[in-house]
Amino acid sequence: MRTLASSSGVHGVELGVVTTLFLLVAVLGFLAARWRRSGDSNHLHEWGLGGRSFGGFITWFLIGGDLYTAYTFVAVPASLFASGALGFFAVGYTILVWPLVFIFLPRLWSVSRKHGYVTPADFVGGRHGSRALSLAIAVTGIVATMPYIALQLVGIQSVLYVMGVGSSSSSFAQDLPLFVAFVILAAFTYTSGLRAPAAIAFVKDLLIYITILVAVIYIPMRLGGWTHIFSAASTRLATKNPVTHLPAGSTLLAHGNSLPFATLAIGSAMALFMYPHAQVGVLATKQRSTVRRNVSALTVYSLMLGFVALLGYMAIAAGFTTKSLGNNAQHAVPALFDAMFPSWFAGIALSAIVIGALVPAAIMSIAAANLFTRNIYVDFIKPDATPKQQTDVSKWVSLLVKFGALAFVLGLDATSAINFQLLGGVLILQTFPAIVGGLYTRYFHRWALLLGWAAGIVYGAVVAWQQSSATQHHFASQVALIPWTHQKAYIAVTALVVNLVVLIVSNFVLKAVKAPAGVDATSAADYDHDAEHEEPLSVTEAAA
Amino acid sequence: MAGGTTTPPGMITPLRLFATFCVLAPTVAVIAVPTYNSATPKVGAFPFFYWYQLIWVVLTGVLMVAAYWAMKIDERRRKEFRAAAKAAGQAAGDGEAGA
Repeated sequence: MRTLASSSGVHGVELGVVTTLFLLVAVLGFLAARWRRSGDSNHLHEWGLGGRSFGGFITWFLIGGDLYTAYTFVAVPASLFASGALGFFAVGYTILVWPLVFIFLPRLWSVSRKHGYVTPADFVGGRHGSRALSLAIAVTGIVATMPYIALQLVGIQSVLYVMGVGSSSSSFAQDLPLFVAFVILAAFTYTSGLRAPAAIAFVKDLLIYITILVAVIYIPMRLGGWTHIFSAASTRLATKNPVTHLPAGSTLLAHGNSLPFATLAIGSAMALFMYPHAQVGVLATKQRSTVRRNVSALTVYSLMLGFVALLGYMAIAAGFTTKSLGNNAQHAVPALFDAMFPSWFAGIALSAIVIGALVPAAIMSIAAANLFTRNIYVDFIKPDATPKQQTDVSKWVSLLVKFGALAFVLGLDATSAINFQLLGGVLILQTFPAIVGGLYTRYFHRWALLLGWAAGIVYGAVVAWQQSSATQHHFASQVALIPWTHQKAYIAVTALVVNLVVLIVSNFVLKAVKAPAGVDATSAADYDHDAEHEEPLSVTEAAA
Repeated sequence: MAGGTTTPPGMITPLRLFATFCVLAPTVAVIAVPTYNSATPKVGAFPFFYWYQLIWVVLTGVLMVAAYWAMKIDERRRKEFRAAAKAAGQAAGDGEAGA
């Protein structure tokens, strides 16, 4: 059994490399404020959407930043490490994301550009003529995003832990490095807005690609090949847990796990672009076709994710157990890098994780701040706010959201952050009918959408809370039995079915009693609208 | 010349059908979990379950490029048709323009 080397004190070389690269990225983040600056810097479009000026190249990195988060780099391999094949749903999920993006995001882009929408809740409010529905979408977005930001911090924390600084407990002194990293992140997001993560995304992707390429070639060589990795994983996962007397998992799906696997993949794919931060990357693009054209190139990220997931099995083959990782499977990948690579390269690989967590954390906090400003502050508190006031509020809220997430991570333990992130996925999927449905039809009544949303949220939250295991009382699993059956499925998907049933029934009733429908601010042509020019895209793209 | 087309492109065109196929294929391939949940045939050390999904990532990329081009050509044809119809309508007077 391999034990974590963190007991042997601080890893100087690794810490040095990580600190250097972190500072480099921080400088880049501050300098980004002046990058491609155009128009009125006081306008929320500038700070919150980078002036809506991003072409194909930058968009590719920016949307990649939504996908490659600490979730993919730390949580997904940890899931394979702990329970085997079921965790590989993440690959199916990132396959399913692209057809979905291809179908509906160009419509969202067009209508948002035409009407100046900054957030998904803006669109829902305009489309259905309902401030209550818009508020529901905004609050769901903020609530679901906060633990997602917290999860990025958990990723950074696990790197610090492996390097021998920081800890998974909550003592302030030991968490100081995380705190410092965080203040820097908060400061450059405040000054540069969306331009900061867009600029840093280049460095981040470079580090990630180098790390993954080296990892999938070098680590299997050191561990005696892929055959050994798969057989070691297979053997370990089949070992029965002394408490539950059940095997931890298997390298193939066990009986009854097909539906959980499929629903996890499709539910996560449908949920991803409901997150406000994922839409920010799309809305910041300059042209409608950029979104579609990019989809094919973005699948490169999915392929990398597939190999990242398998790092979980490599950690098993390297001899790590949950116990030797300090009872936290989330340490699997950082510990594997630390054990396998020479310390200078381990430093680069660990930086990839840290910077890979910073970029999405920045985008997420900007997206949550935009939601608050547009759909709570302007809609309910100060309707006559000037663009400058809106930008100022957004900047402050982005700080608030980040420190909220930090308090979350320091106050609770890492496991809670992950549980809440899972709950966030269940909640955010309930906005799907209002957002995606709304892109195609106004058949559904605004109050029916609101009722369906509420039913899905309540069902999903209650069921997720009820899941217990030998080690956890609540939120122990993402999958649960479908009522009145013996078949398990992803809670978010079951909750979406509840949502849709309530939506359809109440829609029928509301139409029958002729409840007043909201006013639609959009028209059919808005959904196919391209930017001002009608020229072939290749020409404008080359000029950009 | 595009002006030669007389029938307007309908809701369903071969190009749109092709794009729909490209978009649906990966979805079906991933959802049909029992068809690929097996250890064999292996490629190298990789069980079928793993390499099948990794191959589909690459295939999805290819299919998305194909769908992008199909939609782009389809949209261009529609635009050309509209322009031609407009020109013809202007030449022949307002009687045909509405048709």
